[in-house]
Amino acid sequence: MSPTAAQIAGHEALGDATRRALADWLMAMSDTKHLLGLRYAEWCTGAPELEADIAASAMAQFELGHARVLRGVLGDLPEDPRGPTRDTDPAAWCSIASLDTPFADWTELVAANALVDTLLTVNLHSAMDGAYRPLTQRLRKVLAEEEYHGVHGAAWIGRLAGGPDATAARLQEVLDEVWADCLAWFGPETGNGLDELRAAGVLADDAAGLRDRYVAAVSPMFEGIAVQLRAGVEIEWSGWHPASRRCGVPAFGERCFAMITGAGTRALGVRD
Amino acid sequence: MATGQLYEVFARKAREEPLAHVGTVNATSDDFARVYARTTYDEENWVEMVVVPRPALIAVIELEPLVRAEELAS
Repeated sequence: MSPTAAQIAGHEALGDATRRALADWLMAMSDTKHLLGLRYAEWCTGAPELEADIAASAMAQFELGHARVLRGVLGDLPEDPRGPTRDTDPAAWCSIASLDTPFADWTELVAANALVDTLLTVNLHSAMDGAYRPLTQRLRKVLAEEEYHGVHGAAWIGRLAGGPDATAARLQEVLDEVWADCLAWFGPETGNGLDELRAAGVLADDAAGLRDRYVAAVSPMFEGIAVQLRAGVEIEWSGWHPASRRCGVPAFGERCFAMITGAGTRALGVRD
Repeated sequence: MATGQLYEVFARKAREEPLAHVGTVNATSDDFARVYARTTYDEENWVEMVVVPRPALIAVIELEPLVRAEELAS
Protein backbone atom coordinates (compact mmCIF):
# COMPACT_ATOMS: atom_id res chain seq x y z
CA MET A 1 0.00 0.00 0.00
CA SER A 2 1.47 3.33 -1.01
CA PRO A 3 1.52 6.21 1.50
CA THR A 4 -0.86 8.27 -0.62
CA ALA A 5 -3.20 5.36 -1.14
CA ALA A 6 -3.52 5.06 2.64
CA GLN A 7 -5.38 8.32 2.83
CA ILE A 8 -8.94 7.81 1.61
CA ALA A 9 -10.57 9.22 4.71
CA GLY A 10 -14.17 8.71 3.63
CA HIS A 11 -16.64 8.34 0.79
CA GLU A 12 -16.40 12.05 -0.04
CA ALA A 13 -13.02 11.34 -1.67
CA LEU A 14 -14.49 8.73 -4.03
CA GLY A 15 -16.08 9.31 -7.42
CA ASP A 16 -19.71 8.39 -8.06
CA ALA A 17 -18.93 5.18 -9.93
CA THR A 18 -16.52 4.02 -7.25
CA ARG A 19 -19.03 4.72 -4.48
CA ARG A 20 -21.62 2.65 -6.31
CA ALA A 21 -19.12 -0.19 -6.79
CA LEU A 22 -18.23 0.03 -3.08
CA ALA A 23 -21.90 -0.04 -2.08
CA ASP A 24 -22.47 -3.13 -4.23
CA TRP A 25 -19.41 -4.88 -2.79
CA LEU A 26 -20.41 -4.05 0.78
CA MET A 27 -23.92 -5.31 0.22
CA ALA A 28 -22.76 -8.59 -1.31
CA MET A 29 -20.22 -9.03 1.49
CA SER A 30 -22.62 -8.21 4.34
CA ASP A 31 -25.57 -10.18 2.93
CA THR A 32 -23.35 -13.21 2.38
CA LYS A 33 -21.96 -12.95 5.91
CA HIS A 34 -25.51 -12.61 7.26
CA LEU A 35 -26.66 -15.75 5.46
CA LEU A 36 -23.46 -17.62 6.38
CA GLY A 37 -24.07 -16.78 10.03
CA LEU A 38 -27.65 -18.00 9.79
CA ARG A 39 -26.61 -21.25 8.08
CA TYR A 40 -23.88 -21.92 10.66
CA ALA A 41 -26.38 -21.25 13.45
CA GLU A 42 -28.82 -23.78 12.01
CA TRP A 43 -26.19 -26.45 12.71
CA CYS A 44 -25.18 -25.42 16.21
CA THR A 45 -26.76 -28.56 17.67
CA GLY A 46 -26.41 -30.83 14.65
CA ALA A 47 -22.67 -31.15 14.16
CA PRO A 48 -20.88 -34.52 14.43
CA GLU A 49 -19.43 -33.70 17.87
CA LEU A 50 -20.09 -31.30 20.73
CA GLU A 51 -17.01 -29.17 20.04
CA ALA A 52 -18.11 -28.74 16.42
CA ASP A 53 -21.55 -27.63 17.64
CA ILE A 54 -19.84 -24.94 19.67
CA ALA A 55 -17.59 -23.99 16.76
CA ALA A 56 -20.61 -23.59 14.47
CA SER A 57 -22.28 -21.42 17.08
CA ALA A 58 -19.17 -19.28 17.59
CA MET A 59 -18.57 -18.84 13.87
CA ALA A 60 -22.24 -17.90 13.42
CA GLN A 61 -21.97 -15.14 16.01
CA PHE A 62 -18.87 -13.72 14.37
CA GLU A 63 -20.34 -13.78 10.85
CA LEU A 64 -23.47 -11.99 12.03
CA GLY A 65 -21.34 -9.44 13.86
CA HIS A 66 -19.18 -8.88 10.78
CA ALA A 67 -22.29 -8.36 8.64
CA ARG A 68 -23.32 -5.61 11.03
CA VAL A 69 -19.86 -4.00 10.87
CA LEU A 70 -19.93 -3.93 7.07
CA ARG A 71 -23.48 -2.60 7.04
CA GLY A 72 -22.27 0.23 9.22
CA VAL A 73 -19.82 1.21 6.49
CA LEU A 74 -22.53 0.74 3.88
CA GLY A 75 -24.96 2.91 5.81
CA ASP A 76 -22.54 5.82 5.75
CA LEU A 77 -22.61 5.92 1.94
CA PRO A 78 -25.00 8.31 0.21
CA GLU A 79 -25.81 5.54 -2.27
CA ASP A 80 -26.90 2.90 0.24
CA PRO A 81 -28.66 0.55 -2.19
CA ARG A 82 -30.82 -1.12 0.43
CA GLY A 83 -34.41 -0.20 -0.26
CA PRO A 84 -37.83 -1.14 1.20
CA THR A 85 -38.15 -4.05 -1.22
CA ARG A 86 -35.59 -5.96 0.85
CA ASP A 87 -38.41 -6.74 3.29
CA THR A 88 -40.64 -8.20 0.62
CA ASP A 89 -38.47 -9.38 -2.25
CA PRO A 90 -35.66 -11.94 -1.84
CA ALA A 91 -34.29 -10.74 -5.18
CA ALA A 92 -33.20 -7.55 -3.40
CA TRP A 93 -30.69 -9.59 -1.36
CA CYS A 94 -27.15 -10.16 -2.55
CA SER A 95 -25.88 -13.31 -0.85
CA ILE A 96 -23.95 -16.04 -2.62
CA ALA A 97 -26.01 -18.82 -4.23
CA SER A 98 -24.54 -21.57 -2.03
CA LEU A 99 -26.40 -20.13 0.96
CA ASP A 100 -29.87 -19.85 -0.57
CA THR A 101 -31.06 -22.99 1.19
CA PRO A 102 -30.11 -24.56 4.55
CA PHE A 103 -27.16 -26.94 4.56
CA ALA A 104 -28.62 -30.36 3.78
CA ASP A 105 -25.80 -32.16 5.57
CA TRP A 106 -22.50 -31.54 7.34
CA THR A 107 -20.52 -31.67 4.09
CA GLU A 108 -22.41 -28.58 2.87
CA LEU A 109 -21.46 -26.67 6.02
CA VAL A 110 -17.84 -27.76 5.66
CA ALA A 111 -17.69 -26.75 1.99
CA ALA A 112 -19.15 -23.32 2.75
CA ASN A 113 -16.84 -22.94 5.72
CA ALA A 114 -13.79 -23.76 3.64
CA LEU A 115 -14.71 -21.95 0.42
CA VAL A 116 -17.29 -19.20 1.09
CA ASP A 117 -15.94 -18.11 4.46
CA THR A 118 -12.42 -17.97 3.02
CA LEU A 119 -13.69 -16.07 -0.03
CA LEU A 120 -15.07 -13.35 2.24
CA THR A 121 -11.93 -13.27 4.34
CA VAL A 122 -9.71 -12.88 1.27
CA ASN A 123 -11.89 -9.95 0.20
CA LEU A 124 -11.51 -8.38 3.64
CA HIS A 125 -7.74 -8.83 3.56
CA SER A 126 -7.68 -7.00 0.24
CA ALA A 127 -9.69 -4.16 1.79
CA MET A 128 -7.38 -4.16 4.82
CA ASP A 129 -4.42 -3.80 2.45
CA GLY A 130 -6.29 -1.07 0.59
CA ALA A 131 -6.77 2.56 1.40
CA TYR A 132 -10.35 3.17 2.47
CA ARG A 133 -10.06 4.15 6.11
CA PRO A 134 -13.68 3.48 7.15
CA LEU A 135 -12.88 -0.14 6.30
CA THR A 136 -9.28 -0.47 7.38
CA GLN A 137 -9.99 0.93 10.83
CA ARG A 138 -12.73 -1.66 11.40
CA LEU A 139 -11.22 -4.77 9.84
CA ARG A 140 -8.29 -5.62 12.12
CA LYS A 141 -10.56 -7.15 14.77
CA VAL A 142 -12.79 -8.77 12.15
CA LEU A 143 -9.82 -10.48 10.51
CA ALA A 144 -8.48 -11.64 13.87
CA GLU A 145 -11.83 -13.26 14.56
CA GLU A 146 -11.74 -14.96 11.17
CA GLU A 147 -8.35 -16.59 11.75
CA TYR A 148 -9.60 -19.93 12.99
CA HIS A 149 -12.55 -20.27 10.57
CA GLY A 150 -10.23 -21.40 7.80
CA VAL A 151 -8.45 -23.81 10.14
CA HIS A 152 -11.81 -25.34 11.02
CA GLY A 153 -12.76 -25.68 7.36
CA ALA A 154 -9.43 -27.18 6.38
CA ALA A 155 -9.44 -29.66 9.26
CA TRP A 156 -12.92 -30.88 8.36
CA ILE A 157 -12.14 -31.08 4.64
CA GLY A 158 -9.22 -33.37 5.43
CA ARG A 159 -11.22 -35.46 7.88
CA LEU A 160 -14.20 -35.99 5.57
CA ALA A 161 -11.94 -36.64 2.57
CA GLY A 162 -10.24 -39.38 4.59
CA GLY A 163 -13.55 -40.93 5.59
CA PRO A 164 -15.59 -43.61 3.80
CA ASP A 165 -15.64 -43.45 -0.01
CA ALA A 166 -19.27 -42.33 -0.04
CA THR A 167 -18.45 -39.44 2.30
CA ALA A 168 -15.54 -38.27 0.15
CA ALA A 169 -17.71 -38.56 -2.96
CA ARG A 170 -20.47 -36.50 -1.37
CA LEU A 171 -17.94 -33.88 -0.28
CA GLN A 172 -16.55 -33.70 -3.82
CA GLU A 173 -20.05 -33.23 -5.22
CA VAL A 174 -20.79 -30.38 -2.81
CA LEU A 175 -17.39 -28.76 -3.33
CA ASP A 176 -17.95 -28.69 -7.09
CA GLU A 177 -21.16 -26.69 -6.63
CA VAL A 178 -19.83 -24.28 -4.03
CA TRP A 179 -16.57 -23.77 -5.91
CA ALA A 180 -18.46 -22.61 -9.03
CA ASP A 181 -20.49 -20.15 -6.94
CA CYS A 182 -17.30 -18.80 -5.36
CA LEU A 183 -15.51 -18.34 -8.68
CA ALA A 184 -18.57 -16.48 -10.01
CA TRP A 185 -17.97 -13.90 -7.25
CA PHE A 186 -15.05 -12.42 -9.21
CA GLY A 187 -17.24 -11.60 -12.19
CA PRO A 188 -16.53 -11.26 -15.90
CA GLU A 189 -13.44 -9.58 -17.32
CA THR A 190 -15.20 -6.23 -17.59
CA GLY A 191 -17.84 -4.70 -15.38
CA ASN A 192 -16.91 -6.82 -12.36
CA GLY A 193 -16.78 -3.89 -9.92
CA LEU A 194 -13.59 -5.15 -8.30
CA ASP A 195 -11.33 -3.55 -10.91
CA GLU A 196 -13.01 -0.21 -10.17
CA LEU A 197 -12.36 -0.60 -6.43
CA ARG A 198 -8.73 -1.54 -7.08
CA ALA A 199 -8.22 1.47 -9.36
CA ALA A 200 -9.55 3.76 -6.62
CA GLY A 201 -7.37 2.12 -3.96
CA VAL A 202 -10.27 0.73 -1.90
CA LEU A 203 -9.09 -2.82 -2.56
CA ALA A 204 -5.47 -3.84 -2.98
CA ASP A 205 -6.35 -6.29 -5.77
CA ASP A 206 -8.28 -6.21 -9.02
CA ALA A 207 -10.61 -9.08 -9.90
CA ALA A 208 -7.86 -11.27 -11.39
CA GLY A 209 -5.48 -10.56 -8.53
CA LEU A 210 -8.14 -11.22 -5.93
CA ARG A 211 -9.04 -14.49 -7.58
CA ASP A 212 -5.37 -15.52 -7.56
CA ARG A 213 -5.19 -14.59 -3.88
CA TYR A 214 -8.29 -16.67 -3.18
CA VAL A 215 -7.02 -19.71 -5.06
CA ALA A 216 -3.73 -19.45 -3.16
CA ALA A 217 -5.65 -19.32 0.13
CA VAL A 218 -7.82 -22.38 -0.45
CA SER A 219 -5.49 -24.63 -2.46
CA PRO A 220 -3.40 -25.83 0.53
CA MET A 221 -6.55 -27.36 2.05
CA PHE A 222 -6.65 -29.87 -0.81
CA GLU A 223 -3.04 -30.98 -0.97
CA GLY A 224 -2.61 -34.73 -0.69
CA ILE A 225 -6.25 -35.57 -0.08
CA ALA A 226 -8.93 -37.44 -2.02
CA VAL A 227 -11.07 -34.41 -2.94
CA GLN A 228 -9.97 -31.60 -5.21
CA LEU A 229 -11.10 -28.24 -6.54
CA ARG A 230 -12.15 -28.61 -10.16
CA ALA A 231 -10.14 -26.83 -12.83
CA GLY A 232 -11.73 -25.27 -15.90
CA VAL A 233 -15.04 -24.22 -14.32
CA GLU A 234 -17.19 -22.54 -16.99
CA ILE A 235 -19.49 -19.74 -15.84
CA GLU A 236 -22.32 -18.33 -17.93
CA TRP A 237 -21.79 -14.64 -17.31
CA SER A 238 -24.92 -13.47 -19.14
CA GLY A 239 -26.95 -14.04 -15.97
CA TRP A 240 -24.42 -12.46 -13.63
CA HIS A 241 -25.38 -9.41 -11.55
CA PRO A 242 -22.67 -6.96 -10.42
CA ALA A 243 -24.64 -5.99 -7.32
CA SER A 244 -25.02 -9.50 -5.97
CA ARG A 245 -21.85 -10.91 -7.59
CA ARG A 246 -23.77 -14.05 -8.60
CA CYS A 247 -25.93 -15.54 -11.31
CA GLY A 248 -29.66 -15.50 -10.65
CA VAL A 249 -31.37 -14.17 -7.54
CA PRO A 250 -31.70 -15.65 -4.05
CA ALA A 251 -34.40 -18.27 -3.60
CA PHE A 252 -34.86 -18.27 0.17
CA GLY A 253 -37.49 -20.34 1.90
CA GLU A 254 -40.33 -18.42 3.52
CA ARG A 255 -39.08 -19.03 7.05
CA CYS A 256 -35.53 -18.05 6.16
CA PHE A 257 -36.73 -14.81 4.58
CA ALA A 258 -38.82 -14.00 7.66
CA MET A 259 -35.74 -14.60 9.81
CA ILE A 260 -33.33 -12.41 7.86
CA THR A 261 -35.81 -9.56 7.38
CA GLY A 262 -37.19 -9.68 10.91
CA ALA A 263 -40.73 -10.06 9.57
CA GLY A 264 -41.61 -12.61 12.22
CA THR A 265 -40.77 -10.37 15.15
CA ARG A 266 -42.16 -7.27 13.45
CA ALA A 267 -45.54 -8.97 13.35
CA LEU A 268 -45.36 -9.27 17.15
CA GLY A 269 -45.05 -5.51 17.45
CA VAL A 270 -41.72 -5.69 19.30
CA ARG A 271 -39.51 -4.11 16.63
CA ASP A 272 -39.71 -1.41 13.97
CA MET B 1 -17.21 -40.21 13.74
CA ALA B 2 -13.69 -40.97 14.95
CA THR B 3 -13.15 -40.53 18.64
CA GLY B 4 -10.43 -38.13 19.60
CA GLN B 5 -8.39 -37.52 22.69
CA LEU B 6 -8.59 -34.95 25.43
CA TYR B 7 -6.53 -31.80 25.18
CA GLU B 8 -6.03 -29.53 28.18
CA VAL B 9 -6.52 -25.83 27.40
CA PHE B 10 -4.47 -23.11 29.08
CA ALA B 11 -4.79 -19.36 28.55
CA ARG B 12 -3.94 -15.97 30.00
CA LYS B 13 -5.63 -12.60 29.74
CA ALA B 14 -2.52 -10.47 30.24
CA ARG B 15 1.17 -10.91 29.56
CA GLU B 16 2.04 -10.61 33.26
CA GLU B 17 -0.43 -13.31 34.29
CA PRO B 18 0.50 -16.99 34.38
CA LEU B 19 -1.07 -19.44 31.96
CA ALA B 20 -4.06 -20.93 33.74
CA HIS B 21 -6.03 -24.04 33.02
CA VAL B 22 -9.40 -23.09 31.52
CA GLY B 23 -10.80 -26.44 30.42
CA THR B 24 -10.57 -29.36 28.03
CA VAL B 25 -11.62 -30.22 24.49
CA ASN B 26 -11.97 -33.56 22.77
CA ALA B 27 -10.37 -33.52 19.32
CA THR B 28 -9.05 -35.88 16.65
CA SER B 29 -6.02 -33.75 15.73
CA ASP B 30 -3.99 -30.81 16.94
CA ASP B 31 -5.70 -28.57 14.36
CA PHE B 32 -9.13 -29.51 15.64
CA ALA B 33 -7.92 -28.98 19.20
CA ARG B 34 -6.74 -25.45 18.34
CA VAL B 35 -10.04 -24.52 16.71
CA TYR B 36 -12.20 -26.11 19.37
CA ALA B 37 -10.25 -24.50 22.20
CA ARG B 38 -10.60 -21.12 20.52
CA THR B 39 -14.34 -21.46 19.95
CA THR B 40 -15.21 -23.16 23.24
CA TYR B 41 -13.31 -20.80 25.52
CA ASP B 42 -13.90 -17.48 23.75
CA GLU B 43 -15.41 -15.66 26.71
CA GLU B 44 -12.28 -13.61 27.35
CA ASN B 45 -9.89 -11.54 25.27
CA TRP B 46 -7.01 -13.95 25.76
CA VAL B 47 -3.51 -12.81 24.82
CA GLU B 48 -2.27 -16.42 24.74
CA MET B 49 -3.90 -19.83 24.56
CA VAL B 50 -2.25 -23.23 24.23
CA VAL B 51 -3.49 -26.81 24.11
CA VAL B 52 -1.66 -29.85 25.44
CA PRO B 53 -2.63 -33.46 24.69
CA ARG B 54 -3.50 -35.04 28.01
CA PRO B 55 -1.08 -37.98 27.48
CA ALA B 56 1.74 -35.41 27.32
CA LEU B 57 1.11 -34.40 30.93
CA ILE B 58 3.65 -35.87 33.34
CA ALA B 59 2.10 -36.84 36.63
CA VAL B 60 3.81 -35.57 39.78
CA ILE B 61 1.12 -36.61 42.20
CA GLU B 62 -1.17 -39.31 40.84
CA LEU B 63 -4.87 -38.69 41.30
CA GLU B 64 -6.40 -41.37 43.50
CA PRO B 65 -9.26 -43.14 41.67
CA LEU B 66 -12.66 -42.67 43.30
CA VAL B 67 -13.32 -46.39 43.10
CA ARG B 68 -10.66 -49.08 42.76
CA ALA B 69 -11.00 -51.76 40.06
CA GLU B 70 -11.03 -54.54 42.62
CA GLU B 71 -13.91 -52.86 44.46
CA LEU B 72 -15.90 -52.76 41.24
CA ALA B 73 -15.18 -56.45 40.62
CA SER B 74 -16.36 -57.53 44.08
